[in-house]
Amino acid sequence: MTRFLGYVVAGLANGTIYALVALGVVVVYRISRVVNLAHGAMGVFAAFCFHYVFIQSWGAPVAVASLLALLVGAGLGIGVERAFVGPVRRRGTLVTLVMTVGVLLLLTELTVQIWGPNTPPIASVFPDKAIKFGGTGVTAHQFATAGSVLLLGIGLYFLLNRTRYGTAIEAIAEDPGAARIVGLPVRRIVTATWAIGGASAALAGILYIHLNTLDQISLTFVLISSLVAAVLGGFNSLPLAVIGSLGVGVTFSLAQGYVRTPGFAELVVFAALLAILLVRHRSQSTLETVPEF
Amino acid sequence: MRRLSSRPAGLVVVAVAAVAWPFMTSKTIHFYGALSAIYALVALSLVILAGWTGQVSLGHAAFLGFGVYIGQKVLHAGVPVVLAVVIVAAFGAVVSLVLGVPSLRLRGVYLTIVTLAFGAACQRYFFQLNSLRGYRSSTVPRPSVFGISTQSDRGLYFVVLVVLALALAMAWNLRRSDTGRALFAIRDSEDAAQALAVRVAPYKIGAFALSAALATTAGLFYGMLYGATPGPDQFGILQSFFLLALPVVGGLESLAGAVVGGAFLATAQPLVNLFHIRLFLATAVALILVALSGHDGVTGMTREMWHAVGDALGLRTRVRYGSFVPEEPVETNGKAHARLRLRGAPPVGSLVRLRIRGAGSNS
Repeated sequence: MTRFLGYVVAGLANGTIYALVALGVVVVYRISRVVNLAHGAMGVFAAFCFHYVFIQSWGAPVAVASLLALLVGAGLGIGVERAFVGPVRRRGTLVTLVMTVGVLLLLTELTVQIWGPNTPPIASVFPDKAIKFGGTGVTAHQFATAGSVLLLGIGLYFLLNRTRYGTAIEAIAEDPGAARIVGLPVRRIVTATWAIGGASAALAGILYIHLNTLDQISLTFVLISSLVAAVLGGFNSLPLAVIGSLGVGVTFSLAQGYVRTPGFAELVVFAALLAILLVRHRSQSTLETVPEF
Repeated sequence: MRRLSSRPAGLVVVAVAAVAWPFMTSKTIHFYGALSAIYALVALSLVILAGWTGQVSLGHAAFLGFGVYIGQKVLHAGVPVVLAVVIVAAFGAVVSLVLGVPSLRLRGVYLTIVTLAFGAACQRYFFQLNSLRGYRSSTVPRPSVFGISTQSDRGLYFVVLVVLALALAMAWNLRRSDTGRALFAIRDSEDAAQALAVRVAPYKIGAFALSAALATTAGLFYGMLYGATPGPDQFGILQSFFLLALPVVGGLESLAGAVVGGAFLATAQPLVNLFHIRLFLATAVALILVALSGHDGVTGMTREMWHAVGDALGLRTRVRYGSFVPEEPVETNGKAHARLRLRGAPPVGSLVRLRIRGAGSNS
C-alpha cells in the first residue's frame, strides 16, 4: 500500500508538469486553433539558455536566471507566432501543423548544434529538501511545481473565462476579421497570448529538466502525454486538461512502477488515448480546424 | 497546338536515366541511389496521406521500423522477397487500422496526436522488445529477386526502383480515379465532401492504410540496404518529423515531389557532412523555408517557373477543364482554347457547363 501511495504521489508530481505543458498548449490553441507541436522544444531551448548562458556564462543567480528564462520563452513564443506560424495560418491546418513540426525540429537541432548532445543539470530556485508526506518523500521543488501549476491554472482560468481579455481571445479565434472590425487590438492580443504560452513552456522546461536530467527531445515526450490529456478536454477546457494531465501522470507512474518492462508506460498512455478517442462521440469532436477567413 | 511540356517524352528520359546511371558510377554512390529510392517510397506514402487527403502522420518512422523488424523475421524464414513485400505491407495496413479507425472517424488533427503517441510507444516499448527486434543488430538477409542479386547495392537499387515505379503508377491511377477525387475533396473541405455524399471516414482510413503499407514496404528494403537491424532510436519520433519533411521539401501534392524530396534528402547527408551541420537542422531550415514560400515544394517552384517561361514566350495555350482536379493551374494568356472529348455516349440528361471568368472574356 505504501508502494502504491508512493507511485501515486510521484505520478502526481510528474502530472503537474504535464498539466503545465497542457495549459500552455490549450491557451495557444484557444487563440490560434493551432496545436503547437513545438511547445516542448521551446521549453527545452529556454532551459538550455538558462543553464549555459545565464548561469554558466553570465553567472547570474538562479532566481534572476529563471526570470530571464521565462522571458526567453515568452520571446520564443512571440517569435514563433510572428515569423513562422502567423504567416502560414491562413493557408490551412495542414501547412500550419507542418510549420510547427519544422519549428520543433529546428529548435531541437539548434539546441544540439549549439550546446552539444548533453544533459545539463538544471538548477532550481526551490530546495530539494524532502518533506515527508504519507510515507513518501516529496521535495520542496515538487511542491513548488504543483503550486505554480495551480496558480497558473487558476489565473488562466479567470483570465479566459471571466475577463474581457478572455472574451476577446474567443472572438479572435472565431473570426479575426470581425474582431478587428469591433476594435479589438488583434495583433497585440495574439502576441500576448503566445507570450504566455511560451513562458509557460519555459517554466515547464526548467522545472521538468531539474527533476530528471534529460536530453533535448525529452520535453516533446512530455508534450505527447500532455496532448493526450488535452484531447480529454477537447483542447478547450483548462480544468479537464489539468485533471487529464494528473490522470496521465498517475497512470504513467503506476505502469512504470508495477511493470518493469521499459517503455510500458508509453504503451499504456497510447492505449488510453485510443480508448478516449473511441468513446468520444462524433458530435463532441471540438478539435476544429483553423477558422477560415 | 504547340505545347511546352510533353509528359511522355520526359518520363522516358527520366526512366532511362534512372536505369542507366548506376552503370556509369562507382559503388559508393549506389548506396545513396538505393536510399533515395527507399526515401522516395516513404515520401510517396506521405504525399498520398498529407498532400492528397490532408491528414498529417507523425508516426511514419515507426512504420518504417516495423517494416525493418518484421521484414527481417520474414526474410530469415526464407520467404521470397516478393511475398515478403506483401506480408509486410499487409502488416502495416493492419497496424494502421488500429490507429486510424478511432482517430479518423473524428474530424481534426486527432490522427497527428495518435500517430505521435504511437511513435513514442514504438520507440520506447515495441522496438525494445527482444521478441520483435531480435537481439542487438541481427543481420538481414538479401535474397535474389527474379534472378537479380541484391547482394550489391546496385542490384537492390534496381529492385527498389521497380517497386517504386509500381507504387508511382498505382498512385497516378489512384489520383485520376473517383477515389482520388474524393480524397482531394476531403482535403479541401470535409463539409463540402460530405455534402457531395462522399463518406469521409472510410476514405481517410483507407488512405492512411495505403500510406502505412507503403511505408512498411520501404522499411523492408531499408533493412536490406543496411544489412542489419538498426537500434530503436533510428525509428524514433524525431525521425518521423524528418520523414514528414521529405515530401514537403519535394512537393506535397505531386508524385514528382515525392521522388525529388526522397532523392534530395538521401543525398543531403554527405553534403551536410562537408559543412559540419546536422542533417536534421538543415532539413528543418529547408522545411520552414518551403512552408513559408507558399509554393508546393521544389517541384512546385520549378513548375511555376516553367509556366512563367512558357507564358513569356507565348507557348502555353492549353486550357484543361472538365476535371475536379486540374493537373495544372489554369491560365489562359488571352488565347484560350477549350476542348471537350467524350469517351462513349454520355448518359441521357448530362449537362456540360463551361464557365470562363476573368477580364476581357466576351465569349
